[in-house]
Amino acid sequence: MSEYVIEMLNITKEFPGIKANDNITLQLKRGEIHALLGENGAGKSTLMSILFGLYEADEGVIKKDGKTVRIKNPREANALGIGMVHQHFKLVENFSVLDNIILGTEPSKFGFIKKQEARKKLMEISKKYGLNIVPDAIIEDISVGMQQRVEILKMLYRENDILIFDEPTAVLTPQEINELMEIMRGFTKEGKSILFITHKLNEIMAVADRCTVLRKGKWIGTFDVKTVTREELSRMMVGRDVDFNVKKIPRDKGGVILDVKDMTVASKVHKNNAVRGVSFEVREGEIVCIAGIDGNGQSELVYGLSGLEKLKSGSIRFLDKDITHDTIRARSKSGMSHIPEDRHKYGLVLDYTLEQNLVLQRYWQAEFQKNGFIRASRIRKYAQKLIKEYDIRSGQGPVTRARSMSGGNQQKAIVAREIDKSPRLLLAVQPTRGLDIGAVEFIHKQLVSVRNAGNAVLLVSLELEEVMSLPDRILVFYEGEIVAELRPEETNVEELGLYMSGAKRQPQFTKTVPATKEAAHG
Amino acid sequence: MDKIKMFFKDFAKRLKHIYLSDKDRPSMIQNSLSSPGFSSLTASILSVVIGLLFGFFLLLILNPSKAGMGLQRILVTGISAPDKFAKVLYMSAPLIMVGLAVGFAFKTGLFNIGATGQYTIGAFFALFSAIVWGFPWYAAILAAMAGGALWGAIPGFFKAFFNVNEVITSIMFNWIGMFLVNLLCLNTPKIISDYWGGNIGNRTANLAVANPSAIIPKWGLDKLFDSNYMNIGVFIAVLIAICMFVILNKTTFGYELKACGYNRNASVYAGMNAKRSIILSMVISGALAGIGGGLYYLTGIGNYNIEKLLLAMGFNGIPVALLGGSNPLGIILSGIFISYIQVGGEALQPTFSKEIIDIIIAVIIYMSALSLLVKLTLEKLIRRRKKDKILHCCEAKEAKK
Amino acid sequence: MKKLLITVMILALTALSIGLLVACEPKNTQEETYEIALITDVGNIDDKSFNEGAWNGVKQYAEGANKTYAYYRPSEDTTEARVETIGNAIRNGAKVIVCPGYLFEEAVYAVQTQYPNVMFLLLDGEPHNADYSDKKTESNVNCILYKEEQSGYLAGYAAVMDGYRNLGFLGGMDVPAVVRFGHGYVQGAEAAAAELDLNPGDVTMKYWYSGVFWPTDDVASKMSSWYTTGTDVVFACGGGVYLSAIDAAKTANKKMIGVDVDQYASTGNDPVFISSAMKGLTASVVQALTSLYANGGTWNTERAGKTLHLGAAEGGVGLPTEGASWGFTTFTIAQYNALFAKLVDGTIVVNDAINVRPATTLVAVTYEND
Repeated sequence: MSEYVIEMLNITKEFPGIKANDNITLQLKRGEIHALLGENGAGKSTLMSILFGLYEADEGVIKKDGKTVRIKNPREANALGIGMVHQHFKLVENFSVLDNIILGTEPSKFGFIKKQEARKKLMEISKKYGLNIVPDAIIEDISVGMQQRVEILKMLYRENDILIFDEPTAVLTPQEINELMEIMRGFTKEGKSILFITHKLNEIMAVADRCTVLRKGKWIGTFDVKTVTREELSRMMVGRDVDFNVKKIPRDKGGVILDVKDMTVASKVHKNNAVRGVSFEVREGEIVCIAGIDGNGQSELVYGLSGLEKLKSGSIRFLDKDITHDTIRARSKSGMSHIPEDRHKYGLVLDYTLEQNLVLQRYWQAEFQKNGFIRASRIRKYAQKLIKEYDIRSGQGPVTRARSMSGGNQQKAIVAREIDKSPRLLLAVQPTRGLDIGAVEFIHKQLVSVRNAGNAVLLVSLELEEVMSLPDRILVFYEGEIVAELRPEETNVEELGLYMSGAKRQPQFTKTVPATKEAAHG
Repeated sequence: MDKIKMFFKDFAKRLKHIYLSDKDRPSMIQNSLSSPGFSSLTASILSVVIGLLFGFFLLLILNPSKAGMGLQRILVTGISAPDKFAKVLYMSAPLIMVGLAVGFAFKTGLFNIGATGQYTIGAFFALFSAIVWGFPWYAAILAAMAGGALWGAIPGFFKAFFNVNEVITSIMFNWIGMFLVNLLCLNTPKIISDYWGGNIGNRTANLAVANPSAIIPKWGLDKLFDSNYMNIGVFIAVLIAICMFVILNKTTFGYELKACGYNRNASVYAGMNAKRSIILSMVISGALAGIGGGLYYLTGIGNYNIEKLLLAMGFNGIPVALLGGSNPLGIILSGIFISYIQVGGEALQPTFSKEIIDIIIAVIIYMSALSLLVKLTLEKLIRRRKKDKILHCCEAKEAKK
Repeated sequence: MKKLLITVMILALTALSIGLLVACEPKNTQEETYEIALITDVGNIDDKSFNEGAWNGVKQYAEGANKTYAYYRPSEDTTEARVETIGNAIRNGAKVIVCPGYLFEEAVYAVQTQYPNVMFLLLDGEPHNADYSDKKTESNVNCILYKEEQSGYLAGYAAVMDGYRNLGFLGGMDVPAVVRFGHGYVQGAEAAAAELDLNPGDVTMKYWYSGVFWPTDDVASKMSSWYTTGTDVVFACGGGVYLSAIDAAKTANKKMIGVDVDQYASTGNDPVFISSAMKGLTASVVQALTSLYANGGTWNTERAGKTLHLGAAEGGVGLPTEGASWGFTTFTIAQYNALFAKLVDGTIVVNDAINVRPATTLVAVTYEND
């Protein structure tokens, strides 16, 4: 038997205008955890999609146990024992755990599903690997970590022995990440092989045996993890040295820029409030980070601050002025900028050109219009300036449709637009989500420069590395409340994780509305 | 106008490129992909050709020996005589207006299927102000505009404040508008033809009798074209189309409306008043349809007929807008085109009966309005072509090595 | 892919140009012409009314005389479109143009001078200009009006003779033609009552103009109340307004009288119609065309520039007598023929005044518009 369970040899795949995979070779040993490392757009997802049968390679061969195979669709991949946990789970929200797991492979007799049999098999698997689960729970009621567990069980149920994990840790708390690592190690002991897609170096160092690095669709190399350093890996991934340390000049606390009192915002998803009586301050020259697991009210907090959502109660003072009832435009004019979490939903008009998007917050200013007529040449000039300063890359410069730009450059455009307004307060919600290291580094520098200039940044982030490195203060959000205020230099990831998961709470942050909290659990 | 010129220049250049070039010019292909005007215009022309072909096949099936004559008549009648051309222009004025109404709403993210109702209300306002109050034509057109705007504002209001789908509201307001106009006409003796000495009780008075000053002036064009159909209505429509083009593309107002249409959330995020934008879009769209009603009924040629049918004119705005790519300048062309083939279709009588002609013309318009589909296909083709080129290029280079 | 695109375009253009070539070549040699043309007012030739009646006349004559004929429909309901369509017909070789209905009055006014060598037959109207300041009929135009009062008289007389005592008249709008039908109907009922020696009040009549030529719910509920309060038969006179009465009549198991054409036949033998006060559309068109061609293709002096008022004597009015269209039981066709003869020879004269209501002594008429 071949040493490799799966081999992808000299794979090339081309999309209109781009070679997503250029002669890439990936060999997966039996029983190893093999990390696939690369920036966004390096071709990781394409390569895995080819393996999973979503795309077919233009060139190259795939071998299973040394034999050449053709994988035309996910069903065939499954038949070869290949399973995949996607970054965005593919679960039916209002089905039970069991129904989701057997979906597509329902054991049946005369058209009737034999659920008891399936349940028995599922419970056996669950026991064997220590993956506890409630088979009758409805997906939308269980946590994200549990949902991921369902995806994993789905692969095991189908008796897959080659498991692909696509950025599995993005949605997890530190504790959950540790659990996942344990589970993965357990699988390898059972002889299963794991392909682990990520751009987080720490995780690779912690769990992977070997690692293949891709850059811009090209194969850079395959290494034994023990023989390389973090820095080397990042250099190979980005193509240059990356400075992980953000240079913050020490600053004394300045005056209060933002003062939030007893802010409550209703939720659109459930009946309870998403933000529950939150009070805090943001001062000149500091970056305050709102940390927390996704969905704990951070989004609604920012909606409330930016004016997208009305407050149910409480007040907001900005630069010593009550802006609780001000319009979005008024807040923007008085010096608030906002990098929204969903750049497609809020940040950009995708069918507008880049230059039209760059003036989205300023088109009404005298600089860009006269008597209601747009001054196109000035907009062009302004756009060219921003494109140059912020290194926004696009096919046709100012007249590129925003839709056709890459995610990183779309985000850069938003960052450029918002920072160039010279804001006193910058609301930055997950400003680096889904971006590669180079872009992350750039955006971090921009945020710090806003802070260094004596302005304030309110950062909402789910990335622990970002939470630990960037801010001056951390406010941990749990179920719509602040449960802790931390300083990054005085805390660590483990402690942060305990606050984020609600297991711990600092004494000064008492529960404000215990009744509704209980309801939320039920 | 420069833009149109550029349009055609560009088009010719690219056409030449497609036909003549066998060498690799990836940059040119890239450009043609990126120029939306090019593929829109090509798509429209191609779909018109496809539509005409379908019409021709239909003619062949129905009466093979006369199919050639039929197609020829459809294609050339409109320019065969000055009075026929006058009719083309006469019918295109309201068509362009309703096309603009639908197209403007499209551009701002709304589907105004209520153009018929707004057109009807506009027609009533025009006729009422002209016949009962004795307004001159320009004032009557303004009244029509106000009527249409009012009728567009209502669905806009419901959409903005209660998120009621504008398609549903505007469909209902088509019927409400039509019955309301009938009711008002029947209860306004002065607006009905018999009041002015006629013996026809179910249609509005003849403007030539009731108020000649309300008839849209002809400026001697009727003599020039030897047709009573000729008046300056079509020029008004073209002027308004150009205005709409400028508003949509050159003003902050248009920028806001389009932004709200493309992405309502982003426009709110940018501090725009999305509710206001939605209502204003519908008001303008309705006003355009209303002017269409005014332009048609103030020619003095047609009388509003009290019937229980929705006027077809408003719905014709949809294919006009689709064929014109919702671009106001494109709508001028598509409005004239649709009017042109309708006039051509009339000339098929008596060889083909009116019903058959209506089907043929409808098929041509229907196929023509598929330009969006054709456009997408075209873009795909061009993109694939580009890919082929690159592959080809690479292979060639490797071969050289 | 480029090839596909080009192929599609070339194919399309080729097909189009072949079409054009085919079209152009035989064009001058064998362009078909149609000598007798009918222009519909706005509807189609199967409207069970004016267009259809006139079209049947055209067909009947042309097939007998071996003439080419065709019909045209205007592009829209406007005088200008009718004028244009008449022009199209003339370009296609029309020498005679039949215009059914008063909607053609202004159009014929315009074309009669524009095409002096083309003959026009205008049914149920007389040419005038838009503001009625000028009425003139040129020598190439023959107008035909019908003595609606005679037709109505026949219907009213027959209904009372047949034993109906509670009558109804449902008019459309009170335009002259409708009024003449109604007044004739009242006079006919009165005459029959006198002949049967009935007492005053034995025969009642509800008389109402609905104000519309199309069905409405208001009219329907009114008819329903008529039928349920004793009315036995309603003469529904005015376009589609009869549709409002038809259901009420059937529900109450009562009867109706149609108008203009034989509505028993045209509604597919609906027994609710006991008769119809007809205008002799088909017959008068045939007569007119026969006379025209007998005179070498121009109107003779009786018709040129004249308006003929066709009554019983000229076959211009009548009730249908064929088969089941005759829905009377006690009133016989012989009686009808005798009555008809009296109209023909002038023994009976029906008053055609429209601004004075006919005097009645025996029939109790309730004018519900008052």
